[in-house]
Amino acid sequence: MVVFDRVTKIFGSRVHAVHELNLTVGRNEFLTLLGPSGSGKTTTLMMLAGFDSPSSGRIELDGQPITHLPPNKREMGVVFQNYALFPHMSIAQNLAFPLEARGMGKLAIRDRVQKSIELVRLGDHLEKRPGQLSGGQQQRIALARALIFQPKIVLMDEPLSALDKQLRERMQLEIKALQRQLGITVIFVTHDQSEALVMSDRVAVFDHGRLQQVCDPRSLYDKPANAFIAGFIGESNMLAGTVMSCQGGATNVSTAAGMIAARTGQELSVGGAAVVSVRPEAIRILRDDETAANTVGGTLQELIFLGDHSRILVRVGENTLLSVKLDDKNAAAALSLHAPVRIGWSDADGLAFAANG
Amino acid sequence: MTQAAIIASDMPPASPAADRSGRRKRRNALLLVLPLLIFTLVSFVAPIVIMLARGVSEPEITRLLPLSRGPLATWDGTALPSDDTLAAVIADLAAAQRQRQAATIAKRLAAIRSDLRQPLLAAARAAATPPGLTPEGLLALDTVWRDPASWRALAELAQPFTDRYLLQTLDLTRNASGEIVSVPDNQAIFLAALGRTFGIGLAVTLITLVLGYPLAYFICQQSPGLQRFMLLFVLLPFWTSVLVRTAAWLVVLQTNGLVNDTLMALHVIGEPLKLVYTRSGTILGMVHIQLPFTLLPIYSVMQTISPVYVRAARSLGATPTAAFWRVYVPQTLPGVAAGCLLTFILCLGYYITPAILGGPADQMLSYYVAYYLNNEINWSMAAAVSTVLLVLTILFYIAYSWFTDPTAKATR
Ligand SMILES: Nc1ncnc2c1ncn2[C@@H]1O[C@H](COP(=O)(O)OP(=O)(O)OP(=O)(O)O)[C@@H](O)[C@H]1O
Ligand SMILES: [Mg+2]
Repeated sequence: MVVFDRVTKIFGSRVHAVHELNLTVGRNEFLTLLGPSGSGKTTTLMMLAGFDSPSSGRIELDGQPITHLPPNKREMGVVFQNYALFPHMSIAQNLAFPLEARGMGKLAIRDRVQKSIELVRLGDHLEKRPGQLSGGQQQRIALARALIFQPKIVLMDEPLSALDKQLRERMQLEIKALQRQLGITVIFVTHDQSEALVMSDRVAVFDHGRLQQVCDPRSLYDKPANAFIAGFIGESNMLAGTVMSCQGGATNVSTAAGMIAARTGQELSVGGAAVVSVRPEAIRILRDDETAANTVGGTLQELIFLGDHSRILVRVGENTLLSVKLDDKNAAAALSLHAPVRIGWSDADGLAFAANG
Repeated sequence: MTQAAIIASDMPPASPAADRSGRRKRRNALLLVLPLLIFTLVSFVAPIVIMLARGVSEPEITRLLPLSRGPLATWDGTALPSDDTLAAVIADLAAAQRQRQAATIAKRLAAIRSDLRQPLLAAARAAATPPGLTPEGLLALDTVWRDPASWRALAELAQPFTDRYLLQTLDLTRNASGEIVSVPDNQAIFLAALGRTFGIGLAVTLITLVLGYPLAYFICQQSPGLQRFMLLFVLLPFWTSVLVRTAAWLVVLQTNGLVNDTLMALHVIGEPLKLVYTRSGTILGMVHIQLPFTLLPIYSVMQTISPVYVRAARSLGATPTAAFWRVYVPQTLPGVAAGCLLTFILCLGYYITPAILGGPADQMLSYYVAYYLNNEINWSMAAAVSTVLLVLTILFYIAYSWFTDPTAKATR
C-alpha cells in the first residue's frame, strides 16, 4: 500500500536523517518504526505525511507517486506526540474540523462527530476545550480526530509517550483493537520497544537513519539481524571477542569468558572482531555435576529481586558482567554474594555477529 | 468550570495550622512589597486622586472667598442677597484686591458669565479703596449687581465642588434654571476633539496592526539568530526620544523636505505636497512610534504557538490558507488584542506628535490639557479633560478584559 523507494533525507549538507530507505507497508498492517532517539523515525513519518519532502527517492501510495503531494491531499490521519488538538476550539469543533475542510454538510458532520466520540467513549465531553481534558482523554480525541474522515492510513508519532505507564498500556491495547475493528493501516512511531512488540504486526528498526531490520516481533527477538538489534530489542549479554572458526551455522569466538560456541547470526570472517549475544533467560546456574555447551565460571556480583522473577549479575574475568534471569524465586535464595558460581548455556542460544555491524 | 475551580475543588480542606502559616506567609509577602506599595501610592495613586479632585473643585477661588462662601451657599437665589452677605462679599473682594488676586476671580467669573468681568474688577477696586464700599454702594456701582442672576453666578463660583468643568469637557452646560443642556454649536469643541482622538487612535491602531502582524509572522519564521537581529531593528526606534523622531519626520515631510524635493526632482509632482500639519502627517508619525508596541505582544504570542498545529490542520485536509486563518490566527488573537489595546490607549494620550506634525484641526484631547495648563492657567479645566481621558482609558481596558477573558468566553 505504501512504498518507500530509496528514500533519503539530508538536512543541511551532512545530517543524513534517513538513508536509502526501502520499505513496503501492507494493507491493514500495523507497522511500528522503532529506534533510538535521532534515528530518523519522525523524519520518515513526516515525509510520508507530506510535511517534509525527500532529498531523493520516491514514496508511493496505492501505486500512485505522492512524493510531492501536499499534506492536505494525502488523506492520511496523523496523531502527533502532544496531540495538537486546537486549543481555541471545543472538542466538537476539533472533531468537525477535517469534515468541514472537506465541505461536508452540517447535519452529516454532527452525526459523524457523535459516532466518532462514542467510538472513543468520551460522549459527554463534546463542549469542553482540550485544556479541560486529561492527557489520556486528549489522546483519545486526537485519535478520533485522525480517524473521523476515514483515512486509509493513520500515522502516529509517539502518541503515548506523554502518558503514565498504566494508561499507556491500556491505550496500546485500545489503539490495537480500534485498528482491527476499523481495518485501517497504522504506521506507528515509538522508541519504546515493549510498545512496539505489543502492538505491531511488523516492526521496522532504525538506527542512524538506516533501516536495520523489518519483521514480526517474534522473529525480531529470536532472530535479530545484527548486533545492534540483538542489543536494542530485549535484553542481551554481549560478549566481545575474535572469531576463531566459522563453519556452516556454527561459530567459535574467543572471549574474555573463554571460547564460546554460538550460532552464526551474520556473515563473519575468521580472525575478525565479533560479539556473541546471549539472552539472560537462556543462561542457567549449573550444579557442580552439570555441564553445558558453554560453561563459564565467575563470582556472584549482585542479586536483584524483581517480583515475579530474580536476576543475578555474574562477574566473569576482569570487567564482563553477565545477567542471568532466574524464574525460580527460591533459586536465588540459595546463593550468596561474592561466592563463585558456574553458569552455562547451549550453543544454540548464542548468536555471533560482526562487532561493528 | 474554570481551571482554578477544578484545582480548588481537588484540594483537601486546609487545617487551622496550615491556615495560620499561610497567613503569616501572606503577611511577610505583604511586608516585602510594602516599599513598592508606598511608592505607588505616593507617585501614582495620590496624583491621580488629586487630579480627579481638581476636576470638580477650584480651591484657589474658594480660598479667595472665605467670608462670602457660606452666606452665598445658603442664599435662596431668588431675591437679592441680604446686606450681611453683600458685606461679606465686599470684605472678600477687598482682601483679594490687596493680594492682587481680584483678576483671578474676575477671570473665572467671566467663564461663567462673561459680562461680569469688568463690574467685578471695579467692585474689588472700590472695596479696597478707602473708605470702602457699603452694600448699597455695591448695588449702586453697576446695574448688573441689582440682577439676582449675577449673584447666582458668583454663588456658583464660590461653591466648593462644581460639575461645570466636567460638563464643559462634554460640551454641556447648565442653563439659567440649572438643567444640563448642550452648549451652543459655536462653543462646542470637546466632543469633536474626543471623536478626533478616537478616530486617530483607531486609525493608528489598525495601521500598526496591518503592518505589524505580517512582520511579526515573518520574523517568527526565521532562524533564532536572524530573529534576534530583526527584533533589534524593530526596537531601534526606542533608542531615540519621541520628540527627536517626530522632529525628524518634520524634516522629511516639510514643504522643502526630503520627500517633496525627491518627488519634485523626479518630476513626479509639479509643486510640493502638503505632508506636514495634516492629519496624515500626524498619523504617519504616530504609526512610526507605535509600531513596536503593537508588534511585540503579537510576536511574543506567535513564538509560543507550535508549528505542529498548522501541520495537524494540513494533515486533516485544510489548505494552507484555511490552516492559517482557522488555526493559526485565532491562536494569535490574545497577542493582537494586547498589542492593539496598548497602542490604542497610548494613542489616546498623544500630545507631541499631533502638536508638531498636525494642523490646528488635528489636535487630540491631551492638547487641551496642555492648553488649559499653559495658556489659560486653569488647572481645574485641565484636570477635567484628564479625567475624561482617564475614564475612557479605563472603560476600554474593562471592555478589553471582558473580550479576552477565557472564562467569559467559555460561558458565552
Ligand atoms: N529540521 C531539521 N533540521 C536539521 N536536522 C534535523 C531536522 N529534523 C531532524 N533532524 C535531524 O535528523 C535526525 C533524525 O531526526 P528524527 O526527528 O527523525 O529522529 P527520531 O528518530 O524521530 O528521534 P526521537 O525518538 O528523538 O523523536 C536527527 O539527527 C536530527 O537531529
Ligand atoms: Mg521523533
